[in-house]
Amino acid sequence: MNAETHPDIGHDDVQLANDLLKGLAKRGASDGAVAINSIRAMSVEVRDAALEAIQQAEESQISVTAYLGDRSATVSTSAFTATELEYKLDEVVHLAREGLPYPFAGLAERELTISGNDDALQLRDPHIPGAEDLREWAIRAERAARNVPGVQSSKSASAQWSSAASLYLTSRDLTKISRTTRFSGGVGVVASDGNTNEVDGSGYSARWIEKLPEPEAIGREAGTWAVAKLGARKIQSQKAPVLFDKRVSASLIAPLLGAIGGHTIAKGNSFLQDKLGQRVCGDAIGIVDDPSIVRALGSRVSDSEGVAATPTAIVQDGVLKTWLLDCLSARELGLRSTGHAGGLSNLTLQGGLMTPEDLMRQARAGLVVTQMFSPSLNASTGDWSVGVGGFWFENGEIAYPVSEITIAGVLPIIYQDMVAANDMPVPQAINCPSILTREMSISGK
Amino acid sequence: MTSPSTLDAFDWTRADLFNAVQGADDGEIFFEDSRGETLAWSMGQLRTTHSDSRSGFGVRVVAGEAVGFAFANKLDSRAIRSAAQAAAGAKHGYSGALNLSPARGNMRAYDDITPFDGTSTQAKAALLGEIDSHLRNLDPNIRDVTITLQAEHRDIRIVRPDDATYDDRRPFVRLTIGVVIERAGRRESATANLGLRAPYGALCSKDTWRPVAEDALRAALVNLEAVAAPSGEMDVVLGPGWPGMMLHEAVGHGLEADANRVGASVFAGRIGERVAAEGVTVIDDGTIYGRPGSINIDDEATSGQRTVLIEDGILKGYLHDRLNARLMGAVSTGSGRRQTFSHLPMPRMTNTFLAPSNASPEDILSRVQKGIYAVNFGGGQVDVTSGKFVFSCTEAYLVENGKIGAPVKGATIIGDGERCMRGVRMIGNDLRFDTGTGRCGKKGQSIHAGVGQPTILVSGLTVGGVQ
Repeated sequence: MNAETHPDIGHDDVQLANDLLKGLAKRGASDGAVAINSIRAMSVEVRDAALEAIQQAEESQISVTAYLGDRSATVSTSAFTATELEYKLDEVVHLAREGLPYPFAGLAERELTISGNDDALQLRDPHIPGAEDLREWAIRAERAARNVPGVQSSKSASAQWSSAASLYLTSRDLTKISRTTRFSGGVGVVASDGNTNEVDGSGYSARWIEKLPEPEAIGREAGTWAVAKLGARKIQSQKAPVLFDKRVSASLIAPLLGAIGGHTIAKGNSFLQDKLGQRVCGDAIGIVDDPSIVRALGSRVSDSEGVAATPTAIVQDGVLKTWLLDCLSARELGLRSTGHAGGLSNLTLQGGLMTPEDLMRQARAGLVVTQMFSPSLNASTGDWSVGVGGFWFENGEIAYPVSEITIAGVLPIIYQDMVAANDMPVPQAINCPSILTREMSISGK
Repeated sequence: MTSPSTLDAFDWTRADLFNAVQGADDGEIFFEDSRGETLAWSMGQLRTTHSDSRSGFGVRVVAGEAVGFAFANKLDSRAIRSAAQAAAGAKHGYSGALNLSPARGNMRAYDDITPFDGTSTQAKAALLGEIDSHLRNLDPNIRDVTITLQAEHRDIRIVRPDDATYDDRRPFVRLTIGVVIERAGRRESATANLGLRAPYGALCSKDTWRPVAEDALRAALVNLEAVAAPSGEMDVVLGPGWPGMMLHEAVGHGLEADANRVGASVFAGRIGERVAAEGVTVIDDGTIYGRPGSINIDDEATSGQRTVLIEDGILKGYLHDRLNARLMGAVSTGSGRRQTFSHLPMPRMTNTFLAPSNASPEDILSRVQKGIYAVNFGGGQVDVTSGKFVFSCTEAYLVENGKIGAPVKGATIIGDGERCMRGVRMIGNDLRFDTGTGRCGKKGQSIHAGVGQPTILVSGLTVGGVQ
């Protein structure tokens, strides 16, 4: 099984999109947008070095948005036949006309957008792996994981490749073409000490194969993590410092990023509602979103509305510098889009000066969180609780694994005094080092 | 069923499927033609109107433990040939014997209808406006009403190598209403849902949507009064209906055959053993009429079934798809489910519930010295290998000396599946199911799944709060 070529956006697609825009105008639409997306993918999953699953995918989709003044609707289809597309044009104009006005609806303002392709960002690795390459990668990761003493069996190891091409064309002369690849691999294992079993796993993604860690490194990490969980205990309920390991620290930061989203702010329902320009994090904390990194997972020339993407300082020296806005929320708030339609690009919480070990020594005793489950957040107050697993540390040293506990706290307070360590992880779309928080409520026995 | 025209309208070569599956153990081609629509309302305005159509097929070849799978979102004979050849890669020199096609049942868990019953877009938009003003008239402190109206229609066709063909038409509509309320500088929110295998028209009736809207408001008002949740190990009374999600997380996932076949579940190899307290009977039932978790046939064409998983505390069996059943010497329990044609079937739950007993809810609450009464949950998650699960309460109350006290906010419950099932002390007589909007996620696939239970008392769960 081999994908011979990358999917592509060609002259025919641009022609088709233009024809659809004309069809919208003919039906009375004042504006329109067409998106065409194609993807090819392949994946292989192995267990005990034997093939478990081999998959191949091929998908294409067209979506059409029609604006009739301040009314709009979007339709999409996977059938590219002339009859279907005519039907879809009728449908989208009908849905928009029958709907209700929404004064902030509309395409991105011309002066904010940028046309062209994203070739300069090198988001497509030309090399197409074969099924055999993927199988070998997974087997290598699995073998390394199984070689870690204490690992009892493999759950599965897998490797995936996908290649996507997309076109976004609007009635305001915007043409945007993107070509990307993604290579992912991971392994999950079961560790056992005879009494209990623990499972853990590790996996990474990259645009280019060469940017992915070696399968052996990922396998060793998965095995080591699973074995380290064996013998986990429940601890007493208490208040203590909590160090969020770099495996999970992005999940601590995610509610902050949600709370400064334009739509949340426009609704007035954020725990950071009035905090723009104020200190919201520990004073050494910096958070940036950088879409311009060559070959990086989240890089882009423009956001999903075609608004030019530029590096954004989100938090600087602990001070909140911006909301994350798309065109709709920017109009509602009387501001300008920050190029965040469709979400963040490459987010980094900058590393601090100390190692996680230094931070543990400083805190003396507390909890290291390496896994988080089922977080619950009150968006307007920032009350946050989550099930966790990890380790207890004493005298600055890891003492024993812990499980079946939850931690809770009020995020705006937690963020105020968090400190970042210097252990930046392997680059992914969201990058955070380990983070120490001063005190949280721990519920155990 | 009325044959879906799109699935009938093109021709493909049956031999392509036959050749791909020959020499393997199992396989099929799964066609799907689906349509979905979403209207989203907030801040007094219709924000989005979306309509999506998606059709395609997936070819699967199962050889021993290996699965070859290829799909494309187009209905085209050349694409099918190429996919069949790709999926045949699973055989890799394997030689097996083709398993029999599933027997045809006459199970009807829902009718052959479409949600798209001609209700106009104008009527749907007007409905959203009516719900919004109904709620704002009830309480001037409401700051926002968010409403999502969704419909989905899936026509599926499964064709097996012996040309046996199975059709199913799956309708679904959903209404989600959220209320944000503010009083004395404090802001809280709550959500209520309703999901039905019914046409749009069913949701547009005031008798249907009003209780949903008013329940969202009621829960938001409760949250305005909520105090910080306690923390530590304590007795927990779980209300009827949606809290059955704990069962789904605590034992349901651990009883899916895939994890048990590879020894990655705490319940692996333990059929016949005690895994729960006496009186605990857990059933997965895909045949309950009208419930969104129910199925006429699963996605491998096996009829929907009722499977007893735990009986009076003793483990009776697992949930099987065809692949795991064959490898474990069992039969499929009609649990082979997939999100769409572009996903592989896996053993999944349908409607998982705890059978009722005879205690009254009042009697159960009266036995609690100090604990919490959880009546609604947000999300939950489980690690099937260790059996540890977590879920978060969206509506819960303190209980002291048998009396319900103040509502609590932000309570998270964490436990160990088997220990929790062994800690069930009392089982009520008030079995109820969820409101039909439950979805279950596994390996990136999300499907409709229902849960149910009567009021129960469980001791020794850890409640995570800040007090």
